[in-house]
Amino acid sequence: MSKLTAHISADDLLRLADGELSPRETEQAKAHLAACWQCRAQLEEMEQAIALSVRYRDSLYQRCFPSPPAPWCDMQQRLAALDAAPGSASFFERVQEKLGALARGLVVRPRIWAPAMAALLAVAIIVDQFQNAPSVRAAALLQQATAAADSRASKARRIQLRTRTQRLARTVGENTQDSSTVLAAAERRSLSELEGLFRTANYDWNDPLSARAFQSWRAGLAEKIDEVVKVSDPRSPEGDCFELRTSTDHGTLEQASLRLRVADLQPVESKLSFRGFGPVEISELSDQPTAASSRTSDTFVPPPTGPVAPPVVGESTPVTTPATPADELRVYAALHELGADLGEPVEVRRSGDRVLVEGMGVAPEMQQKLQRELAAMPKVQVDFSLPPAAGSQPSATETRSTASSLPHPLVVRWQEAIAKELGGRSAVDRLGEKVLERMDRISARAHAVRNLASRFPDPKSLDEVSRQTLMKIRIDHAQALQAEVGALRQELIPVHHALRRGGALADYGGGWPEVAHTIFGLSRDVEAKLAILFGGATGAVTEEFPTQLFDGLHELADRTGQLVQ
Amino acid sequence: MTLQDQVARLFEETRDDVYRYLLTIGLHPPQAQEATQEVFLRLYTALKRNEEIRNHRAWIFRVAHNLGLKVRAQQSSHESYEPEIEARMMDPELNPEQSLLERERMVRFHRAVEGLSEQQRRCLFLRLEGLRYPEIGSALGISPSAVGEFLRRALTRLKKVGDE
Repeated sequence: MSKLTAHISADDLLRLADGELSPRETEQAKAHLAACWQCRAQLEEMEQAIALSVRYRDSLYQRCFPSPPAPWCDMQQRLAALDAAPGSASFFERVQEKLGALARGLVVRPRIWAPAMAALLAVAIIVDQFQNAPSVRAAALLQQATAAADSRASKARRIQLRTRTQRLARTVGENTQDSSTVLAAAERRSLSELEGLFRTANYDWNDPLSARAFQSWRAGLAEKIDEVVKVSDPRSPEGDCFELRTSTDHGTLEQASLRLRVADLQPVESKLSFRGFGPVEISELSDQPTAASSRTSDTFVPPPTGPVAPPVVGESTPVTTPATPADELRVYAALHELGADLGEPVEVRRSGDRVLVEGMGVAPEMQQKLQRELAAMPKVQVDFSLPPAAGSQPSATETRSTASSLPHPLVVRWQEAIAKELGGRSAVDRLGEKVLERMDRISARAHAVRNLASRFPDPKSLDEVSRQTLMKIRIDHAQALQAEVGALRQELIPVHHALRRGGALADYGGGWPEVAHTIFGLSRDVEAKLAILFGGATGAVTEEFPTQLFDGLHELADRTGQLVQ
Repeated sequence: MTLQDQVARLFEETRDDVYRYLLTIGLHPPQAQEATQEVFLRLYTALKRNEEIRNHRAWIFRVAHNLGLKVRAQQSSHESYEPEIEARMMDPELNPEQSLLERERMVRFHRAVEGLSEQQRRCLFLRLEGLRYPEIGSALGISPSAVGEFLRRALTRLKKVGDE
């Protein structure tokens, strides 16, 4: 805060206007304002900008933004439904449970740690997202699915409607006449009855197997409970579907579900349960009457099934000389280009005159890419039916210690401090998700670098081209690591702050003005040392000089982080 | 008043502001509405767990802000929600009581707001919702003094629109 006679800074004027000054500072500022026209004029200008901001907000909110698209839910009922539902564990508990299960599995199959870890974490995070906000997730999925449908060419297609007693087929889509015109009278009556049922429930009869029909019905519900789960695609066992289920206590349609193929968000099946009528299952018929019948296969290419047969690449090349480190490095470079050196269970090793590329559990798409990439290289033998040899992937002992069921009391205390700092467990959950994901990427990089170092410990023994290749891969990993670690540090700033405040970390002491002074001092120290090193300046130089320079730089970086806390 | 009554009442009072705040983050209306409802379900869960919440409005906006960002990230394949704000601000039928001068000023102000940094804009909108500096800082993961700094810079730029 300024002295009584000095002008008030713009920061303090705003803090005064916002009631953020301490009582003593407020008193001082008011006393100054009473005497100073200049500061009063500045404060008035600021108040005018604030008033303009308020008018802008009102204008924006009231005139530019639309009203909510559906009636608001009855919150009392939603809360009552929430009370009736079984309680869910916190993120920490869920992740610990998932990672604990993973760690136990690793004891049995330590060699497939990396892909298992990645897959499990991915599943954990997806499951967690689903559990966290099913209604938001459902709305987002439907919006994406309708957008995806809009981007596809609109074609006629045949669908089947199955009730408890009948199977009926009809043609839907744009520019088509309903095939009911050529049906027998009994079938026409049944379809007409179903149409009435759909219309009463406000469910689109023209294209009932569509995300838009589901979205439109769901948006009109004041009360609803959503679920989103992942299930196998009934038409393609290799594929997955999102299944959205929405149920309501109001209207004639009590529950509807829609399966959207994960690959392209195309609807594959829907089930509607009408009160007093029963279920109606809708699916697409494969015996399409027109060229449009190939719609599904036009847009969806199933991944290759089963493991790719292990061919010997470059078999026609006569191989007489032993494989060299340069041969092996070329394979590493190819893996690196494809990102297959990050967590994929692939091992590369020399064996006699061959460079063997082995692995098990490599995704079929990656297998194909690697086959293509390595096909032109002589001496390379690829086999994805074998597990990589021990040591090529992180071992079980390197896993996080997550097998114990209860966290250490200290960890609980730290988690509480972090939650307090961030404003609650949910914020901690979100941060936890983020940093764990980032740490996975960092671990994969670190592992790749270590692998490279153990395979090529002496770059001088390599030829010039190989040395450059090795250097390029190292630089790639180093740059990615720097970026990831930098981002992680930023993300952990509030954690650092919380733990330091809670006494778990050494406190540098002081508020931000003290930090600013320290930064200034450190900056001058570093500047002086750099001036000695590069600028011809003179000063105290001892054996400790380089250590002091880099320690100073390190502390400068740390303290700079404190400025934003 | 039961806990359910309390949350339902907060929902009645605050839902429109939360919904519109989420639109400013770039959520589309259906998702903003869903997220708004979700925020109050979370509030209820937090209160049931005896979490200490001193300022409900601040808590609601902080959670809405973070949930909004998460939802927006999930809709990454789509563009953020951007209604034709300038056209609507200039529309005399939508703003019959505003003079042409005022409508033009609002459009200039909108452009100036668009020109602020993301942090400045977020601080401004959360302050407009009545959040104090520590509460905004908690929502955005920055210190209260940084909030003051962002707000001052934002107002300094916006003040120029009033001077024009």
